[in-house]
Amino acid sequence: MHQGNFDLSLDEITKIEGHASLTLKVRGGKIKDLQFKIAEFKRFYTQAVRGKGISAVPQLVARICGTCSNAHILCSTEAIEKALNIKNTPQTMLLRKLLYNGLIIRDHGLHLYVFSLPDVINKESLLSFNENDPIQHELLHDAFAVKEAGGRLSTWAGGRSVYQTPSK
Amino acid sequence: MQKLRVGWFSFTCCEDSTIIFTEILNTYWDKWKEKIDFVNARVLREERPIENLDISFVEGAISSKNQEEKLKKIRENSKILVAVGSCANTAMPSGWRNTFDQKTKEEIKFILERFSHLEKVEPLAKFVKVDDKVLGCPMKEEDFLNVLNKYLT
Repeated sequence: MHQGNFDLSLDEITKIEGHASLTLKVRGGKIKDLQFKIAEFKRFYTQAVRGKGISAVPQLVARICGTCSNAHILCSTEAIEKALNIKNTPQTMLLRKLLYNGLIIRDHGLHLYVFSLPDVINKESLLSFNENDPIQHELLHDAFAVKEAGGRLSTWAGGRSVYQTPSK
Repeated sequence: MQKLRVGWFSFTCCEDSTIIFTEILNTYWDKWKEKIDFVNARVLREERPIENLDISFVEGAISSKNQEEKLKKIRENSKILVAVGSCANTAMPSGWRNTFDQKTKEEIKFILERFSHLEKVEPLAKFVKVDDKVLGCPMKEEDFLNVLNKYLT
């Protein structure tokens, strides 16, 4: 545990999706200033979708984020369907649920194993795990297996794991 | 055998190709671990100096002077530079604002000025020599593997 006075500056936070930086000032063991900055450059999707055909919008807004593109597709599809009073069959809704569950499995696998776990076991990266250590070996291969399972479920239900075309 | 030193870098984009890349690792890590050192990959590991890279894969378009300078640094320190995905190769869809009408450009002007955006969003080739391309939005997995395998001999 850090004590006393120190400053911390991270220009690029790693093991996250997207770009962010952080500065921290600690005095007398207490945080005096903390700034977390999103360093992404704005792409103006709000303005860009104006005037576009309604059926194109889900695939356009999917490009907001590659990690959770399926969530953007499903959300915008639902908004359009509500606006047009379109009702879906139970089968369609079940397929969409499976698609979304695939995203959650893959994305949580990515976050847990790739972003967080290395810090928990004091490794710089998942790729630095010692495969001669039975526990680290198992965790590394669990990471790949869990992510793969999520991706396969999304691909099965929606055709692709990133930017799929949702069931209509 | 000396490992291939590979970098993976992202600029303005949705990082969809990063996701495809991390998914490809599910299948290929066992084959690659003795052959490839993923030296720079912000999504996978701590920040390291950009130096002496055999191949750099770069996704995303260029939106600022700082990004332009970092791209040039990557170029200077890479034998091969590969532009990955639609934004890196064409600046679209991250460069949608390039196509806005005058009224919409006026609407967003204060944000561009406040956060030091370039006047236009540009593809990588505007600033550096690109040796190879992987197209797609997101990148096509097969095309990425073909390009990587060319240099993995």
